[in-house]
Amino acid sequence: MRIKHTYPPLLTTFTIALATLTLAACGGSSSNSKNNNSEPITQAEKKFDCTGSNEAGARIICIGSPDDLSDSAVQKHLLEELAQAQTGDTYILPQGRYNFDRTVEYNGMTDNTPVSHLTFKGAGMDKTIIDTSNASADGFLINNTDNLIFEDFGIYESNNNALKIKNSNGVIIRRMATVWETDYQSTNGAYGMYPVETQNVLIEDSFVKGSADAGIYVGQSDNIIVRNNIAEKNVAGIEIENSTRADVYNNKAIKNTGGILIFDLPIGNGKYGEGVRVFNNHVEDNNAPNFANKSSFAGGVHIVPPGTGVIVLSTSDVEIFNNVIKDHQTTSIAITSYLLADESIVDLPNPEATSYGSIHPFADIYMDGWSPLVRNINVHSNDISVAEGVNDPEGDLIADIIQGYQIFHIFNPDVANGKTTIPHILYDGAGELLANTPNPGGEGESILQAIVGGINQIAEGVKSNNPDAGDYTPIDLSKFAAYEQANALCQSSNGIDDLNLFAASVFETTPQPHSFDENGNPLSKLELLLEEGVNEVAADIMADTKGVMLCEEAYQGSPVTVIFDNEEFGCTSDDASNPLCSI
Amino acid sequence: MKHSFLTACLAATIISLSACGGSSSNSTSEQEFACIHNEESVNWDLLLEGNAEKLSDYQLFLDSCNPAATNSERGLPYDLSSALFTDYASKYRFIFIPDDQHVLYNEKEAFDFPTGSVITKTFTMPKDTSKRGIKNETLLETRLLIKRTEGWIARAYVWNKNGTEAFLTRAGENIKINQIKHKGQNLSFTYKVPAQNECLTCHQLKIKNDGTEKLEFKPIGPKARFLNSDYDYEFGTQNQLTKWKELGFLKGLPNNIEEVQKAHPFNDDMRVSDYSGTPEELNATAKSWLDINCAHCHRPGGQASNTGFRVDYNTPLEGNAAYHGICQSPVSGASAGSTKIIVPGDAETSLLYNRLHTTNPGLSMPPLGRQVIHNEGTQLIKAWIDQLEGSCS
Repeated sequence: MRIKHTYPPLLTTFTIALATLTLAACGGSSSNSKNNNSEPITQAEKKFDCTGSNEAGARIICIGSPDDLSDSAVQKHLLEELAQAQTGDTYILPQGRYNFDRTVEYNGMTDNTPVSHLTFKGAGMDKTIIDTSNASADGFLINNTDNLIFEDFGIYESNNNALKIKNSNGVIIRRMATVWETDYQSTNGAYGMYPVETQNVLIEDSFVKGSADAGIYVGQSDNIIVRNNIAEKNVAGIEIENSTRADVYNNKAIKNTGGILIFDLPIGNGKYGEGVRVFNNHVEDNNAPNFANKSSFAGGVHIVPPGTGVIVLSTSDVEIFNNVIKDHQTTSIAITSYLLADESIVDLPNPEATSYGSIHPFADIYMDGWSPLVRNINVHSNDISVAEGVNDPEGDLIADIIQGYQIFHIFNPDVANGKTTIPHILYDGAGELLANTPNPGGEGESILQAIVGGINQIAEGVKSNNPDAGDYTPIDLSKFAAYEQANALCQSSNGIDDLNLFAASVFETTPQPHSFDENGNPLSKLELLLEEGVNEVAADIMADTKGVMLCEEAYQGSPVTVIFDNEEFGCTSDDASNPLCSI
Repeated sequence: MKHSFLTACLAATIISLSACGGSSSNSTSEQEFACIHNEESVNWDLLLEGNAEKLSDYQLFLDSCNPAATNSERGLPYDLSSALFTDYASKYRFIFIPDDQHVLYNEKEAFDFPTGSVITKTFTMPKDTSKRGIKNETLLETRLLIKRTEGWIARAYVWNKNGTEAFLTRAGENIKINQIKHKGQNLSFTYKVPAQNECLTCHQLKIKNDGTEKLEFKPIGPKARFLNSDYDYEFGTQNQLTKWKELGFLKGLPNNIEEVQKAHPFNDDMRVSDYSGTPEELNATAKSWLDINCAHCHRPGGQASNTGFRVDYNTPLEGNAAYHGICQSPVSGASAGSTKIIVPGDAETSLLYNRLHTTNPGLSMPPLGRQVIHNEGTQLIKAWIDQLEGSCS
């Protein structure tokens, strides 16, 4: 194999020259993106208005009492009832704001009897507020129970996640609010609405604000609809992570760091995502500073570049259409392989390894079925626009790209004149290039296939030499094959005018003799022009002249149906007459 | 800590006298809960229902004010060689096994208990952790695990201020702890008795069987490896498992005790030098501590099985570095200033250490039952991470 071990940062040679430029850029960003004014929240007075019912299988349990609506009484009552929960229970939470010092928790069984169909209901998302700032972890934590409904209340100021639901089939979150009242504060909790390892999830008509991670975060789940919600002032407004079959439509994502994120992360639990449609959303002014806790996962939200509308990270089968994506200071839509987050995914395997995990930093993850590439992405019919003066790209993740473009703008004023700094449909292209490049001296396999094929070979050796190694699942090489038109990345009719807004890939996706340096490292188009003097790529840097993203036939997703008991939700069922659903 | 069920009974009589003497001067409502010297046997039927409002109704203990001694021939005190940390509380544990019944040995998992079995664990707080012993301690709560035909249920009883009666709580309770002394520190904090539903946070295990998954309630402590240790019984010290077998409480124990797993002991009186003579010893002590403090969730089938940190005892560290989180990135959650779960040789940048070495809500681990930092446990984990070899880049 002739693959270099290291994958250098783009354009490192220009870092020093650019120090002054970036400083100036940073100074500008703080003035237009930060907004510390919280809307005053009118607080509804405490009020008990509830009639209970003892009907078996459909009990209605009024929490609190007319005589005692103290915080502690309401908490105690709810937890006591929940300790004796029965299938079909509805818990009615009284109006008013209640300070809880414990997580509201249910783990799926009452004295060993499995329980399902629990409903938690308040007097309105702004009328019943459970403030869990004194609980040590999550606000609500409900596990291992199916057919859950949360309606009409708010969960405020959680120290961790506001509403976490794990391992459930059937989850409805409707007219709920999860809120951290102080804007852009890194000590705010993690996720607002957080179903994880769930199936058939409907989140609608809800409000999420202030999360230091993602406001709505659906993780490792299947069959998901997120619609008609407002996500504002979070790091990520809405995030679909490692999930399959999701429809995200008619939401508003505003004033977050990044609006809508579709991520597939190397998490190592066999659960990877694909099949997401993002349509008819209003994604505007997501230019907030990134206030997430730094230093966590390489693919965590702290990497989200401030000023990004939609990000697709290493997720395949994604259709993004009919959205309004407006006024983002960095880029409107970024689509990237995982190379941008972590270059070690293309490290050379270690032939001396004695365990599977030490063959390659991602050996276990590749064997687990994950792929770092993006395939079958169709971005079409979106209304992308940027108001004059909104152009101030930032973000560590793409700092090299931004710097390269800034240099390009300086040296090529005639090409760059009037255009935003970086592409507003930004495609890394690097993963595709490595998938499309034959391994030199190989037998037709791509460079990526050579790497993962090497991991497989070494794993075979580990298995025969190490009796304790156990079995391994060979990596599926087809996931790393060259791109065909059918699994390309397509964009059309998005308001890309090539005047102000342009779409471009950072790397050429078809290998050319000049695509790699003498050490076998891939060169971005900017490097090719500025470092290697390859002039023929100049036009491509600010436009997609080679038609990398133009497709004759593009990926088309299919509508998702969420099934909850006998009810069906989605664009082909309860929302079939909604014009936003007819495409 | 010494206690045996018969000598403890004698001691208890004296304590209960003084404790009861104290209570009689109090209000009448306290008098209602005077200490009861219990001549009757355990009320097994009531236990199976598990709904008594007062702990004394079950008649588990010789003296209703002293949950550290029983006169029941079917009750047996026990200790674990390495125990879950709970805010420096002392713990007094018993198993109660119905007549003619027995516990079934299991090599790696919790023993199989017969229907009607009860495990009691009483939490008490010393004023000074160097002077433990129930007579120097405030009674906080007594937790019961009760084995019904269909599985285990959990109940927590909170002691009144005078320590004369404990009452069922389902919603949990907060108890203010003021100025207890621990090795030169003065600790004040709010001790949290768990809500009933919180018990299942730690005690749940998803069991895979023929492709289906079943959620089960499991005891955590009573495993061969934690009971394979000496206990100071009335007539001398004896291995607990051997004792259980002798008394007919346990069946299936291998004849050769050497074949039984043995978790490395750990307690707060140990200094780092006591268990770090060799890397193997340090590793074994850390694995034992992580098992009893973390692995009820951080194991396959546990509540935290989806995280990148798994420390079940029977998956050895060697050959399973990534499984344990070594050089692995956390999947989600706040990071306490760390990018990797365990960085070999560098505890202070390891997420594991930083989440143990904090009381910050939302960050601190374990999520329940810990309001103060367990200095001795974090020192162990620090020493262990610091001596791990290798690097992450």
